[in-house]
Amino acid sequence: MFLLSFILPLLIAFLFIRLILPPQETPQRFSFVTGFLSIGIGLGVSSCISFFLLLTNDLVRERLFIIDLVLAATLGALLLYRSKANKEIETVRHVSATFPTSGLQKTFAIIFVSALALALVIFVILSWRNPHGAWDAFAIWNLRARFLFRGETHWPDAFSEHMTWSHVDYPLFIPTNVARGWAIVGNDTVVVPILLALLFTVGIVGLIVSSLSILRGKSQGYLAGSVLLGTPFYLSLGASQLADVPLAFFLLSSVALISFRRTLSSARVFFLAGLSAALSGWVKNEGLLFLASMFLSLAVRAIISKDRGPHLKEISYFSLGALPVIMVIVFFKTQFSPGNDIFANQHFHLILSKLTDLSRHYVVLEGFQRSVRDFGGWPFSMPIMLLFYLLVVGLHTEVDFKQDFIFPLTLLILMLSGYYFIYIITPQDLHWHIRSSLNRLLLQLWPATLFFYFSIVRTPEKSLAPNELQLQPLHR
Amino acid sequence: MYFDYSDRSKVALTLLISLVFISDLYFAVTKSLFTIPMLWSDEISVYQKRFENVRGMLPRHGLVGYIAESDEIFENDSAMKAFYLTQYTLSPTVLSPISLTNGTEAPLIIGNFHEAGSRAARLESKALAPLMDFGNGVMLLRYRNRDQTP
Repeated sequence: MFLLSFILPLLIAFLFIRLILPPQETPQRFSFVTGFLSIGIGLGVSSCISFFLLLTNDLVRERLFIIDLVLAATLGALLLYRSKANKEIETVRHVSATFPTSGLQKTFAIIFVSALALALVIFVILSWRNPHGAWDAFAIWNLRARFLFRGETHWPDAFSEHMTWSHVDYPLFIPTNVARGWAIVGNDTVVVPILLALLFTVGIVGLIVSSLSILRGKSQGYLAGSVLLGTPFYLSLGASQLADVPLAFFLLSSVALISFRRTLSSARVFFLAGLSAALSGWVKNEGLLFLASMFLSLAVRAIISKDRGPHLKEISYFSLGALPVIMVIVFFKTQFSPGNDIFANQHFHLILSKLTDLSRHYVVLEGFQRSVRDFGGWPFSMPIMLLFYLLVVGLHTEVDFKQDFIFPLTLLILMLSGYYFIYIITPQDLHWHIRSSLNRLLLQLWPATLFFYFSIVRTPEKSLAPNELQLQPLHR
Repeated sequence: MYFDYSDRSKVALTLLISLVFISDLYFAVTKSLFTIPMLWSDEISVYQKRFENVRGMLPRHGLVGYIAESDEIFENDSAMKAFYLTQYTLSPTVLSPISLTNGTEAPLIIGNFHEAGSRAARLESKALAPLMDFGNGVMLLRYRNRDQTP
């Protein structure tokens, strides 16, 4: 029953993604990417459905199964119809860059599997020791889920004026998914939120490995996955049942999907990227900053490009994908959610005085430099190690500055700037606010940053045997 | 021996991969992760047991007051944590510290005390009378005179 609460949404998302990006238009092994993307998109869509079922007081097992089965059957039928219709049409399977199999890949596979095994042991032990999760899990996310599940028709009590200490403006991705799982299982067991946390913790790793395996070769994919698994704070935050790791999933999936644009024939991938970006706003309020940053970054990309037509088409697809979830978020924010504590009771002059207070800027900058060095829980700074690695092995030979740097750098700068200014204007005690949250904000960006990093750094095949192994990637 | 690009890359890669495993093992050792406690011995599971018999005595929905040693629930970390955990345990009943509601809304109040000494004086000062004592400092209370606000 536990697994069933998650399998159907993942299946629905898998079929949906195949409908948007048919196999003949995607690179080989893209099914793995599809599978991991399904975790976020499937649970995101099921979360929105669960929210609407709550509105009609209908979050019951039978209703959930019926809706899931109808959706799965409909998508399956559409896929079948299209595959029969396309049988007569000659299609050329997209040929992506291929990377000759090397003994190195087996070595890196073993390294990755070992790192994964160790990480899973750590995750299980952390969950065993804290089955209810960390502070925000019992004070916000799982608390809200208990109201949605136990409250029956009184579930809106979760947004009572007496509950404002629990950040009732926070979106409902995690609470609705946990409540949905409990509705299917029949009780509010800790196994559901633990499984949800595990899905996203492992899903991010799977997504980064499968995506980079296609874009840069399996060795690079395994190496990136291993580095992520070697981030202790990632594992502890994953097991803590907070929303930061699911948010990181959607940040990564949006960025990874856009990276596939050069290997896919269709701009429809931007539809899925928009959907992922919007779902990040349904996970946490920081997702709204990410969504806005994505729009701006795509706009910058279009502006600096000589041929804007294709980029404008991509932005259109992105907007279309984002729109349904944006409407859900707007509905939630206007009907249930009070004002956000950062912006409530703040007026223009107060904000201006904080922006011009240099001592606040100093405190925030100092917090950032300390956290960037230490946020991962490593005994020795991994960012410094990665910088060293980059200086030694160098960049991938086919890096295109405009395509590979401008967009991710713009996105990263916008996100960090957004976090920076939120701290500047925060009404909370500044030192406390930085201490209690900055490491988690940086962790949200970490998987996408690693993806970007390993997209541009030279692969192990090329760096370890540049003269012996002559690689001739095939291009479309 | 000529330390060429390939050799330097091997060293860098080895250091990177080593840091991956050292980081996780360092974390596991420093957090004593391989000392496995009994299941349900975590702080929250134990705390929930304090209120095992309380939930059945409360209305399934609606507002219930909350009182502890001090009125400064949100200014003190341990008092705040106790309040959050109590709310987590007793949800979907909504709890509200009586210092915030002034006793005007909730006919029943949950007392969550961790020190025996101050309890009687505290109840007296708030004009509260016990309805049930669940032990371990957990009590169900009411206002002595419902018309009288503290």
